Amino acid sequence: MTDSRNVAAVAAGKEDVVLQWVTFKLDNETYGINVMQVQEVLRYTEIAPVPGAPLYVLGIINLRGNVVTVIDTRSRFGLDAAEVDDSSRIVIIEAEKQVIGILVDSVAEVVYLRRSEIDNAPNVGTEESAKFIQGVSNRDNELLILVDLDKLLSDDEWAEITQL
Amino acid sequence: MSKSVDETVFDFFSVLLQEPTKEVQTSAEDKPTPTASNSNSVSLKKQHSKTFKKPNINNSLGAVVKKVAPPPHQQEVKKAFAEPQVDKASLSKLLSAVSKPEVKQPESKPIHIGEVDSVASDKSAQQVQDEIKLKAQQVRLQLEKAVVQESTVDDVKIISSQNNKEPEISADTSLDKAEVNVSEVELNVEEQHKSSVPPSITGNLQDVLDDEFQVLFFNVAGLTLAVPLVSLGGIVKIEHINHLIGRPNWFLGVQTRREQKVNVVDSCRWVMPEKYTQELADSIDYQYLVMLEDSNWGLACESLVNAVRIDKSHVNWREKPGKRPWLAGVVKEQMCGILNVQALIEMLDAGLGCQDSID
Repeated sequence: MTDSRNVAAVAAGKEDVVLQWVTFKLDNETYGINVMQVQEVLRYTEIAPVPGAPLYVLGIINLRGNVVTVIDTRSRFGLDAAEVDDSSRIVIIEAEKQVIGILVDSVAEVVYLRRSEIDNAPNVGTEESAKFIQGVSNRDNELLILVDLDKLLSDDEWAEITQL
Repeated sequence: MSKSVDETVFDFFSVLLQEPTKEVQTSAEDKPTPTASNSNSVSLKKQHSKTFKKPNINNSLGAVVKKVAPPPHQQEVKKAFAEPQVDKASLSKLLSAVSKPEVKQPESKPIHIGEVDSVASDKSAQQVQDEIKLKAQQVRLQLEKAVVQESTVDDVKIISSQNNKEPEISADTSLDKAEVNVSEVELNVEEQHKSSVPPSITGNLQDVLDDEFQVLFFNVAGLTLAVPLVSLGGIVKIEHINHLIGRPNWFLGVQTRREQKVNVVDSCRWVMPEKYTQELADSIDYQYLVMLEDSNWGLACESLVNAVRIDKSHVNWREKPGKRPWLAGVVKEQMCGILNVQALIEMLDAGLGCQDSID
């Protein structure tokens, strides 16, 4: 499978680009987001709830004078809620020209992946959250699930959180 | 009183042979059976016109009855033929007992009810044969002149159920009026069987299996399933399954295996979603993955039972894909479902659950 992808890449005349991914844990699974979209990683701070906000919005935080909306990633991914602990982090990202924070269980590391090392995720999902995954990669016998942050919210939802 | 079935059958056919005229030979070419137009029907096909003498009838038919007649019928038959007059209802039962188990075979190979013992041992037997041949020719001539209509074919009724495709043959009470040369009757179910099978999304599993094939039995939440070894891609020990968001609930996740990703199916949830409860889920301890052919799909199972060689006839094959094309049939002895792996793969690839429509 990997060979075929390599052949395809060579045939297309493209370089096997190396990409960096920030990995984080959520419900014992490892996810990766493109490092170019990550602005910073924060320890957990108080999140102020916003009345009338969508369920996937935990609230807002003040980041050096800027108001940042924090998304409940577990809820968005259809996972059960979990208590916040010392390892919980808020990852500040930029997607769809907006800056938001996502709450994760922990942040692990930055990994380097060649494009050829990324496979498509099994295409059996019909749920909304299936589209969040842009690929998977096998690292040290562990599966790294790569998240497409731009698809974390729909266009309407991106527009909605700007109004908060 | 201790007549064997062989003797009973011999007595019956002796009575038939001694009665004059009204002898009928039945064949697919000569006359259509009442259900000949039905795709599920069973036609009677004429074989080589071997006739036989009494002792040979005894031998040949007795041998057949030994093969197919179930024991419960023996007592009834004995009672019926111990009396001087032939009990016609018992004759019906007798013939149905002889024929029914044979035609149930899903392979539908041509089944011969009765095989003529070709060894003629004495001259008197030869004479009897000649007489019977003569009578048979006469009857054949009569039949050619007369148009045999379906409604009048009351000597032998072949009843086939459209639903269960299990032809049932019963003899009418007028059997005593006619000679039914059972050795010339062949139940040719093969063509009907082929045409009765509706197109499945994957073709017929039976076509790719040998007459004798090996299956692996495995357990899932108390349910035993069988997979033909030809469809088995391998067995993988479950180590770490990565859950993927946005997948169907029966999709347990992905396990890496030799740098490949195995899609793990929660077999219990997929096969019997209606029985899947949290309590059941908690009790399940998946240990292995049964890989499906060369696909990336693996069925999670709790234990592997064994691999045994079974005959095709030991499986009650499903003739209609119905709502469960993944279920090829039921292994009779173990009473467990046998998987049509190709169909299963296609359903899983399409993200379909066990009860989802395939259309």
